Formats: sequence, structure tokens, C-alpha cells
Amino acid sequence: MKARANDDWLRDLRAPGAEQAAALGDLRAYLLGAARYALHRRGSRLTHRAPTDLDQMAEDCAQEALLAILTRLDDFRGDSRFTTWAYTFAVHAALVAARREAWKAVPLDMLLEGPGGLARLGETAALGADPDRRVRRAEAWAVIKDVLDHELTDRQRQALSALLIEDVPLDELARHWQSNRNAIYKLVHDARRRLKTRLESRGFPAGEILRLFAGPG
Amino acid sequence: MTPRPLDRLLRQIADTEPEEISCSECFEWLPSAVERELAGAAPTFRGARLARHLGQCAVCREEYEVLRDFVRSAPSDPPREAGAPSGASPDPAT
Repeated sequence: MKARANDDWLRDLRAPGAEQAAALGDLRAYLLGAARYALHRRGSRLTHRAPTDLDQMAEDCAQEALLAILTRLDDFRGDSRFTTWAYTFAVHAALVAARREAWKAVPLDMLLEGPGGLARLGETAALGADPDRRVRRAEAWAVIKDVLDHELTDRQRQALSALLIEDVPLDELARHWQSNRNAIYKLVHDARRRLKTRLESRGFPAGEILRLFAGPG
Repeated sequence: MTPRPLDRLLRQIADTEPEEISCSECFEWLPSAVERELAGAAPTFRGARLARHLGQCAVCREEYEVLRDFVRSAPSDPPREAGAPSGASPDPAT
């Protein structure tokens, strides 16, 4: 495998003929290593897949990453090694595929349409030995519950419930809603901002909230 | 131990910033952030914004951690095919 600095990678990948073919072959080998590593890290959730299936998944992810890299060569700014930048695509492709595999049998419709567990999160809010703290906890939770019930959209409630309680990966939620990561992240960010603003305006700054709910009492 | 959902919700509310980077920006910043962490470089403003995103986004956080660990553990000369003896040369990219 040829040693390449960042500029060499860019030049060879854009070159015609044999130089490009060699660079593509080398890059693909690097990407395959990263994809295999990422899938191995997710191994416990992919144990039902035969080793040959995982090899094929890694091959597919490396190929997907290679194609993405070739369409985005102009985006490489040179603030990291080219190979580190390229690995990012392979790791991303492999983990998205692994999450898809792990969640493909889960009926997200039913999960999202269910009663949701957000309301139950506060069941322990009024517990604890210290009466003053108990009251403050209950007051803080009442603010949170009010925002959850009356100020967030159905989508925001569903997203919070899916991500926080059901541990649905953002990728999978985005796929299910035919959306994308950025949009779902913004949806949840808007919900968090609303919750934080309301809590602060009612006398519960961030530090106070964490202190109130830390530990049992 | 995985935090309880209530603790996660409260932590995420507490750590919420008016402006946060998107998952796409996070993706673009990952490679240099990973290299800075592995080099022990001092945190930057951009790094702090990335860290806040990773605190809120489990999938981006997982990708950061896997990328970091792979780069840390990867030989400087990955074999052409996994499991095959390597005759490769190091990648001395700048």
C-alpha cells in the first residue's frame, strides 16, 4: 500500500487511470477495516448474524463510505489526516447499518403510538425523606409535566419518549418518520429549550434541578 | 451504569444551550476532534460545542467513540484485507 499524505490522497483519487485505481483500492481497504471494527463493537446486538453476514455488511458499508467520500472530496478541509476523515464515513455507515439491523424487527409504530412513559417519569418526584426537598421536587416536576402536556407537540413528546425511555436510536426514528438526523435533533432541541426556559422562569435554574433530583432524598 | 430516563431528561434539559450544532456539523468536526483528543490537545471553543452535542446525541456520541477508539488502535499500516499479513506502508498524512 502506497504511503500518502493528504494532498497525495486527493491527487491520486482525482487522477485518471492506474493512480486512481490504486488509491481507490487502498482507501477501500482502510474503510473496510474501520467498518469491521465498528460492527465488531456492536457485536452483542448482531449475534444472530452469521460471521459471513457481518463480513458482507462490512463490505457494503465500506463501499457506501467510498462512494460518499468520492462525492465529497471537495469538502475535505485538511484539518485532520485524510484517513481519519475517511474513517468517519465508514464508522457512520457501519453503525447506521448496525442500528438498522438491531431495530428492524421492532414495531416503532406501536412503540410511538403507545401511552408513552414520559408522564411516569415523575412518579418518584415527590418521594424522599426531606420534606422541603420533596415539595420542591414536586413543584419542579409539575412545571415539566405542564410543558410536556401542553406546550410540546405530539412529535416532540413521541421523540423524547422514544429517545429517552425506549432508547430508540435517532437514526431509526428519523428513518421511521422519513426525516433526517438534523431535523429530529432540532425537534428535540426545541423541546429541551422550552423545558429549560419554563423551569428557569419558575425559579428552577439548571443547577437547582440537578441538585433537587440527585439521589433518593 | 446507564442513567435513569428521568436523570437523562433532567441532565439534557440542564445542558441545553440556545444554539447547538447539528448532527451534520458534528460529523464534519469529528475527525479533527478525535485527533485533538488523542494528541492531548487543549480544548477549543469548537471542541466545547462538539462536546455539548455529543452529550445530547447518543448516535453521534457512539460514532465519536468508535472512531476515536479505532484511530487509536488502528495500525499505521492497515492490511489490504483484514486477517491478511500486512505489507503496507504507514500513512504519513500531514
